Amino acid sequence: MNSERIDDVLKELIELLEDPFGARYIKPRVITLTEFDYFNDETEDKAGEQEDDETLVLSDWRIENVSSFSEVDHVVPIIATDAASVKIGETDRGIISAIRISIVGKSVDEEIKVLKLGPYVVHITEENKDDIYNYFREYFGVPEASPPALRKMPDRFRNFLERMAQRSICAQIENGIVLWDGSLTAGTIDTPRKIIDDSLDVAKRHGNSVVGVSKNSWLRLEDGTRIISLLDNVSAVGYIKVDRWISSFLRSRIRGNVFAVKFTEDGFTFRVDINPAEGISSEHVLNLLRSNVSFYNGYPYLLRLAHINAYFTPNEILAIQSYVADKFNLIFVRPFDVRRHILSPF
Amino acid sequence: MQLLRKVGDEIIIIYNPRKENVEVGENLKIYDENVGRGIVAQVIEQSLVDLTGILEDIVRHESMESFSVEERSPLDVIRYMTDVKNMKMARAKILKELTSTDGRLSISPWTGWIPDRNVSIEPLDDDELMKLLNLKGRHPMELGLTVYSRKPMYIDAFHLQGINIITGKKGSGKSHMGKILLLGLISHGARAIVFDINDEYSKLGFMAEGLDKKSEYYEKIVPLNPGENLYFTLEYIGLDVMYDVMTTVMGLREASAYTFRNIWSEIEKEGILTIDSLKDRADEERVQIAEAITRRLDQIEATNIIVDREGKTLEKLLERISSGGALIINLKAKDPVTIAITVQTILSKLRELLESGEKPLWIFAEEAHFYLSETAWDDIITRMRHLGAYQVYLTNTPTAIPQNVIRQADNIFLFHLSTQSDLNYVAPASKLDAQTIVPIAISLPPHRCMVVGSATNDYPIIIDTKPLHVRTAGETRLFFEEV
Repeated sequence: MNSERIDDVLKELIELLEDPFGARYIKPRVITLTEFDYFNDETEDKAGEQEDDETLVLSDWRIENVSSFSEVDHVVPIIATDAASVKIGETDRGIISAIRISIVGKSVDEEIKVLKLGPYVVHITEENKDDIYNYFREYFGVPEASPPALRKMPDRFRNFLERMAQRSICAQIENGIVLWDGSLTAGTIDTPRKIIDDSLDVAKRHGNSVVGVSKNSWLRLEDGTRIISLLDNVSAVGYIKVDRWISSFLRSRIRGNVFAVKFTEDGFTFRVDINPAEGISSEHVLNLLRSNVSFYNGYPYLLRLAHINAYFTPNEILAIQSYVADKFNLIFVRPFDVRRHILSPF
Repeated sequence: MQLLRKVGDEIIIIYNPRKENVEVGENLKIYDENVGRGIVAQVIEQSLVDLTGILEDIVRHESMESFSVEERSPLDVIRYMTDVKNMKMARAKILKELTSTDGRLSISPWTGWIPDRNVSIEPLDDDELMKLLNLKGRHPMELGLTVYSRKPMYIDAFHLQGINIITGKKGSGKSHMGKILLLGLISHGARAIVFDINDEYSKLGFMAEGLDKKSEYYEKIVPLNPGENLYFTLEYIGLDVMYDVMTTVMGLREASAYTFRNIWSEIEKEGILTIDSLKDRADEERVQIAEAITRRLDQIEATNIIVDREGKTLEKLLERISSGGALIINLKAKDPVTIAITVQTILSKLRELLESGEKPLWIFAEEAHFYLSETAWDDIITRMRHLGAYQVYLTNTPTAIPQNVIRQADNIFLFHLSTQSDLNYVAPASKLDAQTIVPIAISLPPHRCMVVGSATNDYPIIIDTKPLHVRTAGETRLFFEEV
């Protein structure tokens, strides 16, 4: 798989990314090595923003028949990507994060290949956050802007790399399906519309359809009523196209058709956004996807693999903490949680 | 290396195998400079640190075996991640305590004190350890090289004056160690009687290159072949030994044994104690008794171990090695009667000699359970040891050694044993628990040995036995020639 571009960008940036900027101390992230845990701060760092981006506000919504899938006897290449970021610790100058990207591809002859890029370590400080932020904006051809608060920068950095990976995979297969983790909502707080639109153009030029699968999806009606899930009470597999009920404001930002999909009987329901290739319908892409990949609890297996190969385990975080402390001669400062001291044992 | 925790008399140490390495059996010095105190611990087990995240990594990796996974990662980061994944832990037994007095370290039994976590942990050089343990003493004997820093390991022959056990699987090198000890003792002027069940010691008087070259031990090694150049008169053997052989080895029943004893006493008084006179007198008894005694005397006569003319005496034989040496009693392929008469006569005479002030000597007994009765063991262990008959037992079947011998052992030379029950059985001889010696003993390759006991100040030391320049192997007849 060809992902040299991401490598090249990071090589170009590496001096900036790993500059200690005179930091002397690191307060490492607290990790527990004896219990299983996996880390991807994306869900934590952008919880609020993600909810805003991925919430479907439905108007005039009512239950209709669930459409069934059709078997498609046509094999297409499929490719997926995911990225994970994790805060390694805080220095006296900023935040050290690690990012890893994974790309998983399945060819028409069923061969699965996994490419892992990283972990890349980045030390984001007040001194370099502007340069890093605008380097990527320039890369994507969007105007310079003020970077967000330092604490939000690790996730912005992850997001830029993930967007680069998404664009890269749009060109890596022909006439296939490109799977993204998340929605196809453009113009979000971290992703200007142009970035999504340009990537979708790349996909189109290669005859690919782009499918965004959101692990989380928030549904509510215009009056604020929450709907837990559209298909949870439906035992059969199928999908509902919810485009028509999405509020017009949100609809204008989503780059594709939106479905609530239950791929397998025992699986969960996911929000699936589809931007189809020229000449085919979103429903056909959905059927193609279901016929060409396996699912794990209703989630596309290739995306699952991408996720599995991106997230961090506690021992990896520990290793990266040692790496940065050694490389930058940083002194470990014991993490101190004031809440434990004032609220303990409750 | 970092000290993680202490559990009982063991400590757990974490280390990065890329930067440091420890081996099972290696000694660690854990020393706190600030308080001038430390401990010495011996690594008894090493393992990988089991972290849940690592399990996740491994499962992830294994589950994707059918896929090709390409990783493009900055090499430095990967190295650290690999380090964490491969981080090892070592379990070490605390064996001694170190104390600094006026800048000089001394070693003493562990009092239970442990250092803080931020102490230095480093491998303890074998020379330094052996110096602290004061192993060499006034009568140094080199046994081999320490496994880790390849330093010559000496013990003081003084500490072999007791019960010593050499055990290990066949081919592990225990007989070789027996010869090292024997020659070491001879070099210090000591004397020994070797019950050589495989004829492995009789050629020690020759160089390894061939039987045409004498070694420096030539005059000190006296090979004795029962029935050939080792034979005794009945008078010298004595009634007790003969009676015991006739009853226990040859199965003479009580009534016949009673008659035999009477006949013996009468003939002895008459001064005509020979096999023929015993048989003649037995013929005068009831037929069944006469036949029982005569048949057994015929068997004994056929061994050629008994002569009417002047026989050998232990006194005379010991004179030949008065300045140090060994009587090698070759028991290979000898019948049980010959073995019993030979061993019991020698032990019985030795006891008498020691009681009358004979200088102490060593008994080397290979696979002693083949020829020592329970009573004989008891006698050797209790009475004779205190009279100056020090013992070296060599066996590949440690469970055949009575437990009271094991418990009274002063030193054990432990070679590879693969059976847990064997290791549990011999553990008391080492004064260490089975948990300590099992992981070490199981991982010992041939000719590597753990020495522990008074000779090592009760500190287990692992060595590779030194080669000997003399002829050591027994001569086993082979059908196939070695290539």
